[in-house]
Amino acid sequence: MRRALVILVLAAIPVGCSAPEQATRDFDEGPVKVGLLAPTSGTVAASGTDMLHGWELWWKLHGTEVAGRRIETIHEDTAGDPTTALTKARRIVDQEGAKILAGPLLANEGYALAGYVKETADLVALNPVSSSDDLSQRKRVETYVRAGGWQSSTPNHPAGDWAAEQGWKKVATLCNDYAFGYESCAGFVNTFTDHGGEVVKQLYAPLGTSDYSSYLAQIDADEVDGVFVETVGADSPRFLQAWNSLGLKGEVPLIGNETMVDQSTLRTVKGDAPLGLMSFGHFAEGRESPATQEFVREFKAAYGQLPSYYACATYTAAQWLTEALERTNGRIADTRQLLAALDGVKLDDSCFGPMRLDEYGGTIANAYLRKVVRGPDGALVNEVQRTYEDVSQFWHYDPEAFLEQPVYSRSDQGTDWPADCGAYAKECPLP
Amino acid sequence: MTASRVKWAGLAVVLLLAAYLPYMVGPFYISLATQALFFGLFALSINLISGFGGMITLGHAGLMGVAGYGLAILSVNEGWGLAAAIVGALVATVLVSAFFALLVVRTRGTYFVMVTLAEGMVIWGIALRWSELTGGENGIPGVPKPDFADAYWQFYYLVLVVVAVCTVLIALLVRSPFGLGLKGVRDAEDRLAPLGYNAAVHKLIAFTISGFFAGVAGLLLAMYNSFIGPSDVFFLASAEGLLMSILGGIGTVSGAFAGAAVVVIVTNWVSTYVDRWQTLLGVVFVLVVLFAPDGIAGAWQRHVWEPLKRRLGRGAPAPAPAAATETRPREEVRS
Amino acid sequence: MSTEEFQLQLLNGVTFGALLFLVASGFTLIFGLMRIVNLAQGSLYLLGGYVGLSTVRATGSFWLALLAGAAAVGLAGLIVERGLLRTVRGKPMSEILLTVGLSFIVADLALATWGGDPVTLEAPPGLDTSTGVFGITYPTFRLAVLALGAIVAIGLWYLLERTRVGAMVRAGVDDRETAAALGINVGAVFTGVFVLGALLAGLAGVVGGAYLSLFPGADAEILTYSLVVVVLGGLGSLRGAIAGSLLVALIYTFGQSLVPDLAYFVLFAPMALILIFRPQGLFGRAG
Repeated sequence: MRRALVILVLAAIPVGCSAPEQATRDFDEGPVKVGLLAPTSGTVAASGTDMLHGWELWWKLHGTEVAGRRIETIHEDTAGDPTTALTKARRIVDQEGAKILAGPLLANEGYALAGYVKETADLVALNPVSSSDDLSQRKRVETYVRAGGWQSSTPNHPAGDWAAEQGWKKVATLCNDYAFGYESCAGFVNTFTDHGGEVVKQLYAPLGTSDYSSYLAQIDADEVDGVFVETVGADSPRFLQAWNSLGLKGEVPLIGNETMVDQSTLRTVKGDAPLGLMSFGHFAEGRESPATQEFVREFKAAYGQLPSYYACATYTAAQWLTEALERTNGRIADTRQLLAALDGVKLDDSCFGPMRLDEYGGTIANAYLRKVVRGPDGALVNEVQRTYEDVSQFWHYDPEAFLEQPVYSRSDQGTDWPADCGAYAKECPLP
Repeated sequence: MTASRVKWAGLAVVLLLAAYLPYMVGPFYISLATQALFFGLFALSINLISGFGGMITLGHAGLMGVAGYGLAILSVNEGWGLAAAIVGALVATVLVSAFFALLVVRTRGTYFVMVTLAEGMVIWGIALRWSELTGGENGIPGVPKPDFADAYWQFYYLVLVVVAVCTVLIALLVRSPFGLGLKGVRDAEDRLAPLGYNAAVHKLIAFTISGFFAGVAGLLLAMYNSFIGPSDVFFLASAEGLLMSILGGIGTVSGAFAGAAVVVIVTNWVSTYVDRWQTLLGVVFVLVVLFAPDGIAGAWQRHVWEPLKRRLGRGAPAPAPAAATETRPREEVRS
Repeated sequence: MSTEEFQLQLLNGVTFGALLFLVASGFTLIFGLMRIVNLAQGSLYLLGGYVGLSTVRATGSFWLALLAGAAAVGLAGLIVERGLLRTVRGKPMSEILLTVGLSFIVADLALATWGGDPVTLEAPPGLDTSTGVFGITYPTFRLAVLALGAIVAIGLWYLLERTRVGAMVRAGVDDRETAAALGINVGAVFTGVFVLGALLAGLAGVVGGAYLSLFPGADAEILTYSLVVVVLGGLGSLRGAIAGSLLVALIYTFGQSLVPDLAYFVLFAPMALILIFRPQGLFGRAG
């Protein structure tokens, strides 16, 4: 037995001395493989399925041939879990030989994937959904591109200005108790307080709150001129239900973020409860532009329901990739070249609207004030009330001044940011 | 050619295979193997008290999480060096395990299960709500790996060595007088006191040690993902750990790894080809419960190993399937 | 906290408690009598809710949905108990594993059948209004849930305390072997209790589908609450289920508004304390 151990140890010595050989791949041969990481099981399954459908729809309508190459999509279900997302990403890259990934959905999945993308050579990823602000600010990963993407706080910056315009002086906010919630609320709070507004109360409800009425009970209708709310996923219908049944509807003006009244919520609600709700977002399925309307029409025809922003995001990511590949003549092996092409894409129009990237990798696109109305065929739809053009992640701030501040968090909602015009890059919006 | 020689030869083959694996297959399979290894250690830590000790636990992912979060908070948020953060995380895990053990040591059977489930969920609740400390829903990204284990294959070797060492320690513990005392607690707790054994102390120590090893697994998990989040400590993670150990064969050492390997493969590989893989996982478990309660290791023992031993002239006549781990305790609660 | 807010939170707590009682009562009965930690209780709740949803979509009647949800899940409970749990009776690990495996299967099949979008059932017309209660506007539906909880509580109490069947159940909870020795068909009683527990879960699912909403993950959520309820209240005790449900609901509701960061701590800490000082729960039996 002892002899066996000795032999064993001797045999194992060469192990670990040199790196295993890796098969080299020629990425300019054969189809362009793209790994799509979208959760189609678990709590965010509905939105993940929209991501899949949006992506598929583009290729269905435009064909999978781009600049002489065929696009081959490999979809993997991340189940909304970062560990699974990572393993699936590895599988697609190692087993299938993909050079491009797209997705995922949740912020924590996004961070986990960003880490993997950063440490892997010859890998580029598209990020149409995961909206953590810092991914294009202080924690940027160059090879993780916001193609058709957004930042959580961006559409809510104009909301603060709008609220001040309405004459609101005091507000309460209710957001989910995690990064997406903090960033959404902070976008609004930052600009609202710049105009001298006061945030009387900030409530945070954990993701998956069963009963919003205990939070709403803490809002005194007499004390505030308006309420800003962010909810997402399964929480949105529950919040809306509590809002209506506690008699606050009509008592206090409410503005929401994108996902409070996104189609993933609207299409499940029966009755008139969401009618008339105002919100801010970068997508409006009721937007009267051919690009948006064609997308909405085709999506409805193919999948039997109206598209949420998740679907538009991946649809636009596909559009983005197409444009980039046309610039590189279908070549992807040269990572620098591919990245330059992706960063340089400028869409004149898309289901979102015009879109391009700033030099920090953040999006510059429209933001919309939307209102829920009943569309011609009876379905609830977000219609555009007002368009804010060329909205960047820094709003009116000077990017350097913006980045000097810490990222929006629960303790830093932007209430103390400098409010003098010196901090602003463009026209100072302050009174 | 004795049975003992065959066993050692088999072990040697497995170890050599594990050592040469990165030179045989690509990074994806190595990532599966890495997961099977540290989840196997997690399942083994559960086995320590559930299999050898007879106390079913549904909260062990919480202990795994204390270590993972400890590492993340100390290294990422507080800026400690990696070695110091690891030590700090493990100390925290041992303390929490001991505290939980104290709460639980006077209970048995189904109550034990409930309490451990609750304990696991408290940790989950803290991870989820105390966002200043734990990052809340988003978790804590950026957990570092040791410099010498940066590449995927280097990390695999690190995990292999750590898990191998822990497994040897646990195997020794199980065969020691302490381990025998633990089995005594499992099989006939009431009869131990007159023999001079303090059952409560045994349980306490066993639970704490088990928590330590769950913590080691948690460190490896956090480093592997460069991330830790609340879903890593949710009770489903604990349930999966328990299922891994039962699937593999509760009360065995090799079973933990076999069970972990199956679950990892189904979750990461089969799921590519089968949409309803979670149903598949559920069905597999139900089938194992109904038809093979000893798990894979038990089935191996009965259908492969015993006949082989008999062939080599050292085995006993074919035994009935083992049911020693399934005795229902008579009393539920004792104060 | 203003008086108005306090009253509102109190109402919230009490009505949420009624919903929890519907799920937890079944859980505690099964737990108390059969010593089975039915970890599939949450999935049964979800299944009931979804069946109710389909019924409403097909017939437009909420009342029919209640019946359908309860009946469907009761039937599922019968099949599970008779077909599967019986075969592993007396082996706690196997029972738990079985219920966990079932919960995986039910949850995934529900996702496949009804999709992952969160859905809310519509309160039946007549109940979808708001009522004035103590000077606050409060949804009528929730008050109806409160009433339902009370009715079920009284019904169960009557069943357990005043009927022969109930006496058999209580005998089985107290001492299984002696009950069997006295000629009580313990097997049939077990099946009956399991089916009743499942039925209650299914009913709760339909109600919960209107009160909260249904989505993948609602099962784990409600299971967690049931667990705390049962530990606090004591296993196998109806009074315990009532007390536990109210306690948990009130702690959760007030905890959310007073100490949101520590909300879960506030919920689980009393459970930990009970386990240290009175492990059998408030109304459970020792030994």
